[in-house]
Amino acid sequence: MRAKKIVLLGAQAVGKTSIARRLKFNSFEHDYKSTIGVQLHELKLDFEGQKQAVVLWDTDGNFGDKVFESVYVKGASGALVVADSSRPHTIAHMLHMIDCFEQAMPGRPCFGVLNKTDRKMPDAETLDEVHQHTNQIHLCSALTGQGLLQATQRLIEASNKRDVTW
Amino acid sequence: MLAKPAQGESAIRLGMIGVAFANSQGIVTETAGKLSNWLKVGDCLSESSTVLLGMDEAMDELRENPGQRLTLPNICLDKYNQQNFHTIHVQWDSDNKQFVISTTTLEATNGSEFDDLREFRAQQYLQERLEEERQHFRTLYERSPHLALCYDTKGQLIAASNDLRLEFLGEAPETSTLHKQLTEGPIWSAMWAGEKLNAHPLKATDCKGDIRELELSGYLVTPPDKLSKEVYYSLADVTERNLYRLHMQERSAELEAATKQLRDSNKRLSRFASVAAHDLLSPLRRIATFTQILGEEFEGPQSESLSFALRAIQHSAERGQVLVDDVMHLTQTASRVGKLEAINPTELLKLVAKDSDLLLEHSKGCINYAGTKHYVMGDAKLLRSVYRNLLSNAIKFRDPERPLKVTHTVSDTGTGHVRIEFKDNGIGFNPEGAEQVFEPFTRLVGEDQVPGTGLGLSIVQEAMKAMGSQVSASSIPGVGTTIALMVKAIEK
Ligand SMILES: Nc1nc2c(ncn2[C@@H]2O[C@H](COP(=O)(O)OP(=O)(O)OP(=O)(O)O)[C@@H](O)[C@H]2O)c(=O)[nH]1
Ligand SMILES: [Mg+2]
Repeated sequence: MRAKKIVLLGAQAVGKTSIARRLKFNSFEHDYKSTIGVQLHELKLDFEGQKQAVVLWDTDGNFGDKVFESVYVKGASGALVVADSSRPHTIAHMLHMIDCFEQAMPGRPCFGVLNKTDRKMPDAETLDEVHQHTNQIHLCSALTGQGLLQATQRLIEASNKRDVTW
Repeated sequence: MLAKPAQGESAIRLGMIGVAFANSQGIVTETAGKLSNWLKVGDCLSESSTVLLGMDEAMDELRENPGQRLTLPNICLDKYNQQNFHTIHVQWDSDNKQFVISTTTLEATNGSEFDDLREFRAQQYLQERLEEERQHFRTLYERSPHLALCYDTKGQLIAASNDLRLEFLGEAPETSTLHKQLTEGPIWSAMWAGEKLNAHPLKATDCKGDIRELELSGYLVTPPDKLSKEVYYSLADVTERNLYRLHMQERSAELEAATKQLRDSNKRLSRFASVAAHDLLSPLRRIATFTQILGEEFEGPQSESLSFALRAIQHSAERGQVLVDDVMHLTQTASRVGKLEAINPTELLKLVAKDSDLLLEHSKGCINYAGTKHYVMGDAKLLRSVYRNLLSNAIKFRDPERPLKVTHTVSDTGTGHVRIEFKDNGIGFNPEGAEQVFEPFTRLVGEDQVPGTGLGLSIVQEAMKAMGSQVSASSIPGVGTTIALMVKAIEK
């Protein structure tokens, strides 16, 4: 089965690397070591009884929306756009990045991930606002691992559906 | 200008960190150096290799534009956290009709050149976190039904939320008991030792003179200027909540006591049943024995009616014994379940069938084994008694017109259970009786036609329940009966 490329996008320190680490090693680190450039992680996920090879592209949050001018996003099957639930401006940035991705890669699935829900759950207002923008939002925490596997599996599912209709 | 396929190694010696070649279809033909961890010979660049995954279009473009170079900068290709940065170039070599993938290191070390940049970003993030925490506290002031307080280094109250302020601090905060507790003694020193208090229990007197139970959270905030330290407290009045919690604890204790009582009385009941059964058994045995002796005494020309009466008494006594045995079995089934173990149901049935060999032969019966070889989680003793009862039912309720045929089918439902079907070709029963057959003493066929106590399927059901499994029955009169068992599958 063809491997899938999934990009992790989102503002700085929202937890992209922590999400990759949780998915790959099922571990967590409190230390913040900012990603410079981009880091690749190969994963094998159990999916519908089969192993699905996934390559996560953990990008540098500092790229902002310039990441779409680079080749990092090229050929991606889908994107997880991450925000830090406790920092509102990262949520606004997430919505912007979702727009950008949908423009750059029309038709490819792109999910919003509200991370760090262990620290703070987004309030109803914020959720409302986000939902007006996209209905593909996942509440997650890299610290507890909550919601991450599910979000990734849904993303792969969505991209498989798309492959079939091609 | 580009290295030839066989010259991968020399390319490395010329200063490239890694190099790989792929044919026009994008299949990797050779790799060397750093890239050999990531590109394997035979890989398709756009399908299974990591770096160029999904980039079919980009590669088409390269093929059409020789000399164009695809550059992927700052890629960390190493095992986790060993940050070695590479820039990867992909180019179409039209002379040799191949792709050349080469990499140079941006930074061959562990990335320490970037430590300053990382430190800077970490500082930025910390500032944001601090601001966010302050914001959080401000909203706590505004919205919380709790009491939020902020003290300066000298224990002066800087700010307090409104909700409970008057209740606990009154008009003169400095004289309140709460204020004293928060600015002196162990709590205050804990704050300055940098400890964080979370839901710390506390008692304080409110303005009405009532003692209330509070929960205190507090921490010391050091702003970036490191001068104007402040202590933030947040208090919640949890008196009602604690009362409620106590109430709940009492309720659950009551519930537990009631459950225990029920369990005890159940135990007593089943003990009573077995004692009663035992007491019933011995007179029954004696009746049977004495009737036999009586019969032997009267050996010789007995009157027809006397020998009939003796036979009837003996038969009834024997039947009574079987009945008591079965009742005892039924009441004890639930308490007999031991540790569940992995059992091969097919093998178990074969064993049970061996015990009933004679009977099977007598009824000209045979058993077919079908389905898969799945193991189940069960108690061997109970499952054996299930099979014994099912088999004896099949023999008892066989159709005299045809030889008995039992089919035993095992299949995995995929839902954590294994389905076992025990199907016979006997006389069957009316489908409306499907629920009833599990009731004790239910017989859908007259006793004069078929011997037995009517407890067999009740025992089966009790045994299945005790193992956390289920049983159901279906039947077509004149065709046969199917008993379906849903038994726990073994965990993988
Ligand atoms: N409480 C909590 N902290 C988290 C969570 N996820 C990440 N963090 C912390 O947030 C900080 C940043 O995490 P990273 O994973 O490095 O963030 P990033 O998005 O990769 O950042 P850049 O690489 O700089 O773009 C670290 O201190 C993590 O420990 C989470 O779910 N809960
Ligand atoms: Mg990162």
